[in-house]
Amino acid sequence: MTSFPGRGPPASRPPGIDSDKCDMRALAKAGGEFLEAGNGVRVGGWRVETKTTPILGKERLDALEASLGTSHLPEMVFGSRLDLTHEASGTTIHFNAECALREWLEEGLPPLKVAAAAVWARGHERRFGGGMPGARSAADRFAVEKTEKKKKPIPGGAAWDEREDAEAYDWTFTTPYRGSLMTRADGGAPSASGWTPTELRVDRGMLMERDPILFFDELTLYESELDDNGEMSVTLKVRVMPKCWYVLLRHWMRVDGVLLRLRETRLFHKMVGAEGAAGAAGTAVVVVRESARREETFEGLRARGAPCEPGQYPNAEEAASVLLAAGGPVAMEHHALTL
Amino acid sequence: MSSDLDVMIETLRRCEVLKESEVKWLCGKAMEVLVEESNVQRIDSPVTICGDIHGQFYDLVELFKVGGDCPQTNYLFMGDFVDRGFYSVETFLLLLALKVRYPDRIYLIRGNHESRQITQVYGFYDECLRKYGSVNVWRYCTDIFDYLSLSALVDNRILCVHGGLSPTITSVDQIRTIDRKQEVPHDGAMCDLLWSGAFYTLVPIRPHPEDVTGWGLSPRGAGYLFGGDVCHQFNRTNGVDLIARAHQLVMEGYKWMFDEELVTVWSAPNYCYRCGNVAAILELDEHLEKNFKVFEAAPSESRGVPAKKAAPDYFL
Repeated sequence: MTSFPGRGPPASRPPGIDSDKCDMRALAKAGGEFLEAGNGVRVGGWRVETKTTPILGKERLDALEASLGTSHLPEMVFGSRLDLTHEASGTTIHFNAECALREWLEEGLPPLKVAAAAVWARGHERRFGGGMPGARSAADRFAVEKTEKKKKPIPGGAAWDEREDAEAYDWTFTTPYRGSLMTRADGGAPSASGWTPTELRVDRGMLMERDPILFFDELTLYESELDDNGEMSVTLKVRVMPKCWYVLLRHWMRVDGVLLRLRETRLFHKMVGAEGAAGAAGTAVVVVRESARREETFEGLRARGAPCEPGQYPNAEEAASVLLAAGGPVAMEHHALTL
Repeated sequence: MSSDLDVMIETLRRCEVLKESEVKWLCGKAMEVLVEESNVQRIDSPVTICGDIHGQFYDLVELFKVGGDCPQTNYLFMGDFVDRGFYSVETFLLLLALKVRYPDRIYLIRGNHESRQITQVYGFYDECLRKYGSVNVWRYCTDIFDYLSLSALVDNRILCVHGGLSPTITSVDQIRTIDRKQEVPHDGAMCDLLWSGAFYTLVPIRPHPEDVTGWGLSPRGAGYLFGGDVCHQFNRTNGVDLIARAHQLVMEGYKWMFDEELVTVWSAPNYCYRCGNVAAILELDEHLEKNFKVFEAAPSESRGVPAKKAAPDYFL
C-alpha cells in the first residue's frame, strides 16, 4: 500500500517559459523570440532548446536498458536534452543521455580498480582462495586480469556466479560522446559525419564580452556516485548571445585515490551578421568544436606536487580549474561543421 | 539531564547547531547508550524503518511529519545520516539527541558514510570545519560512529542492515561476534554489511537481479554481488522473512527484489537537491503488516537555503 500523505504525487514542471533563463528585452532587440512550446529561443537562424527532467524511474530505465542492451546503468540518468537546430539546413546538434551511454558501451574501456582493491583482494583470497583479480600496482588498475579461479566453497553452500565474474564493464561510464548530429533528410537518425578537422578556433574574446545572455541553461545527462568510490557526471551548459552561441559538454570522473578524467567539448558558433562571421556574404555557416581530454592518476598528481586529495576535486567545475592550474598533459582536437 | 537534552533537541529541530561543548557532552552520553547495544539490535514492532538521509535536514523534518514524531512513533534509521546534503551536523546530532533521550524509541545503525575516511571526501568533515572552525565536532561524531550498531532484527523476522549480505556470514549469530568498535574496515564481514551495493557487497539493483544467482565479484576489484538464491537461503537459514536495507537511490522511494525477500528503502527525497525522486519509509505495525509511506522533499519555502536555480553564467 502506497500513500502520498499531504501534498499528492510529485508535480510536473509547469509548462511554458522559465523567465530566469532568458533576457526577454535583449532577445527582442536581437530579433529573436522565445519558443512557445518549450524552454528555448529562436535567434540568428538557430533554434536552441533544452529540456530538464528528474532522474528516470523504473519504467523508463527498463526501456533504456532494453534499448542499449545492458543492465548496468548509472543510478542517475536524466531525460534531459539539448537541441541546437540550424533552421535553414534542418541540421540539429543534439545531446541526450541515451546517445552518450551508447558511446560509453561502444568505447568499452576496461574497468578501473578502486584504491582499496589490493587490500580487498588479499582478504578475499584469504577467505575464498585465489583467482581474484587484484590491484597490485597502478598499472594493474587499468586492466582486469582473467585468471583461473580455484575457489574455496562458500559457507552455506551458495555458488559463485561465473557470469558476474566475467562481466567486466566500465563502471565509470566514461564516454567519448561529443553530441549527435541529426539531419532533416535522414529522418533524424544520429550521424557522426560532418565534422572535419579545422584551423578555426573558439573565439574566447567574443565569449568574454559581457553582452547580454539571451538564453542560458545547464543540465545533466547522467551522473553516478560510483558506489561511493568517487563521482562522475556528464553535464551541459549552453548560452546564447546576440553574436554567438556556446556549449560546454563535460564528462567528469574521479575515482578516489586512483584517477581523474575530464573530457570537455566546446561548441561555438558565430552568428550570421556578427562581426567577422562566416555566412554574412552568402558563405557557409560554421560551428567550431574544440575537444580537450585530461587524465591524471593521483600518483602522478602527487609526484608533480599538484593537489592530490580526492576532496580537492569535489566536482567538475572545481576539478576543471584545479586541473587547468596543475598544468598536466592535455589532448586537444579541433573540428568544424559547415552547414 | 532530560531538560538539558530537551533544550538541545528543540535547538536542533530548528536546524540550529549546538555548541561544541554540548556536542561533546551529547556524544559522551550517546556512547554510554550505544555501547550497550548488540551488533544485532533486537527491536519490537511496531516500528518505522528509514533509509539514507544524507544531511537533508528539512527532508528529515518532513519525514517526521509523514511518519509521526519521535517518541510517538518508533524509528529505525539504517545509516547514512551524513554527507552530500547541507546539514549533516544538525541531522546527525538531532537523531543522536533523540537516541539519548528515547533510547528504546529510536534506533540508529551504521551506514558506510559513518566513517572517518568517507566523511573526509563527501562533505561531513568540511561542514564541521565550516560550522565550528575546527575538526573537534567531526572527531566527536566519528568516534560515536564506531559505536553504532550494525544491524537490527525486528520481532526476529525482519533483518535490517545498511548494505547487504556477506559471503562470510551465513547466520545472524555470526554478525553478533563482530568487534564493531572500529573504523569501517576495507574488507570482511563488517565492511560487507555496510557497503553492500557499493564498494564491497553489491546488490545489483537493476541488473535484472532475479537472474543473478550465487555470489559474484564486483568489476571494481572489491566487493561482492549476491543473487536471489543467496538471499532466500540466508532468510530460510535464519528464520527471517525479509531483509530491509538502504544504500541505493531508488526513484520510487522503495524497491522490492527477490520475490519480496529483500526491500530497499530510500528516505532522501530529491536527492542532492536535484534528482527529483520521492522518498519512502516502511511502517511495520504490531503484526508486521507493511505500509510504505512515500513523501516528497520539503517545500522550498520551509528551507533555509533557496532552491538552486541555473543563473546565467559567462562560462568558458
